[in-house]
Amino acid sequence: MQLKTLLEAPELGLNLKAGRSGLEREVRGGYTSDLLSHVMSRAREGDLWVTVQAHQNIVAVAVLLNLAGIIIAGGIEPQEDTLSKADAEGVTIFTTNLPAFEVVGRLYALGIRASNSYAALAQG
Amino acid sequence: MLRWLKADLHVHTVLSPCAELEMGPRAIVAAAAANGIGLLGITDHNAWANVPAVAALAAREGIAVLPGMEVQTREEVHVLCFFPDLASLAVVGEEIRRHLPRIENRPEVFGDQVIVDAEENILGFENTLLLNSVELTLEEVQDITRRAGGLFIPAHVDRPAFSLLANLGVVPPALEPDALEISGRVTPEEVKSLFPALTGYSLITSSDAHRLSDLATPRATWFYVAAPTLAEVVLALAGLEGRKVVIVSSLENKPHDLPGRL
Repeated sequence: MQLKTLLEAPELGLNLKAGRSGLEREVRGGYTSDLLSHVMSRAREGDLWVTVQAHQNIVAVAVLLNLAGIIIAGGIEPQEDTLSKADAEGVTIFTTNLPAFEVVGRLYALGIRASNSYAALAQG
Repeated sequence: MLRWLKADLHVHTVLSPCAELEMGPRAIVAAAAANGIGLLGITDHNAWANVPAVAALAAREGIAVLPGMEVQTREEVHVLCFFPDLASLAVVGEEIRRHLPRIENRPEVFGDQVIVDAEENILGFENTLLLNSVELTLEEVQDITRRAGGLFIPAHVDRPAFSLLANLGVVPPALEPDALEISGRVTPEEVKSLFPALTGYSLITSSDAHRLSDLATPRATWFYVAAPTLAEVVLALAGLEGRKVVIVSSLENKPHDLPGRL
């Protein structure tokens, strides 16, 4: 599923804030956490990342892991430096007024799964 | 004349709801004196009201107090901010504190937030919950602190919660901290091997005391300075004009392998 498909899904209420050039990106899975140290060690390439963290370091993490994009949930507005950096790096950032729990639930209903979920289950 | 000065720049008082009620000014100053501390940082969560009381008592014991607070930024990162004097702490500290969400403390859940004077009379209670993030980014808190001539030191960066590295992964490019604080759990060597990104930053360690027994730490920060002032600490953290900072085991009385021993 491409990012632009999600942008057009009314139930997610997404607003495109940065990285229009990345809308063709394929979403391979999803990840959610607000601790960037966790994201760096656990998210996978191609994941769509749901967070309430709006600091510009989220862009660096997305570039580092080659994530598909970022959804900032809970009606939180990212700082201007975060958005300008995302545009410069080609990282797509959406915001939504939905709480993170609700966004993740609706993404799941659209068929997106955690790409590392099987690894997590296998570890018990 | 430069001399070695033992410092503990991260101590909470009864104003922090998570601190024990034994953390009154007299007891803190006595514990600092017992541990040979010459420079004490008083850093309550997002608040400063007990600094004057501790500073007044500490002065009688020959202990200098750096007026400060431990700010929790929008990213839930804890940062130690210090100011040149009580007047600037009162102004800038209050400016930062005003950005706390107006959520009332529930003492039975979080603990009491007690404001005291130097005689340990209770002056009142802080009603706004201090265990919260101010609506300011890390960079905004850094800018506000610097404009007042203050020191900006992200706290316990190696810890898994409320820390720069746990929450934000790496030191953000726009951040220029005067130093980074590491917790007492690790040595500087261990922390640099765990977090290679910390190489090149000045490091301090502190007790982060929430109870009196916390002030006895396994390692301590020593400054080689001319006087126990913020201006001298700035020079030491930057390694300028012969000033320096080291972390040594508390089993040592002083950094004996370095010149200028006490």
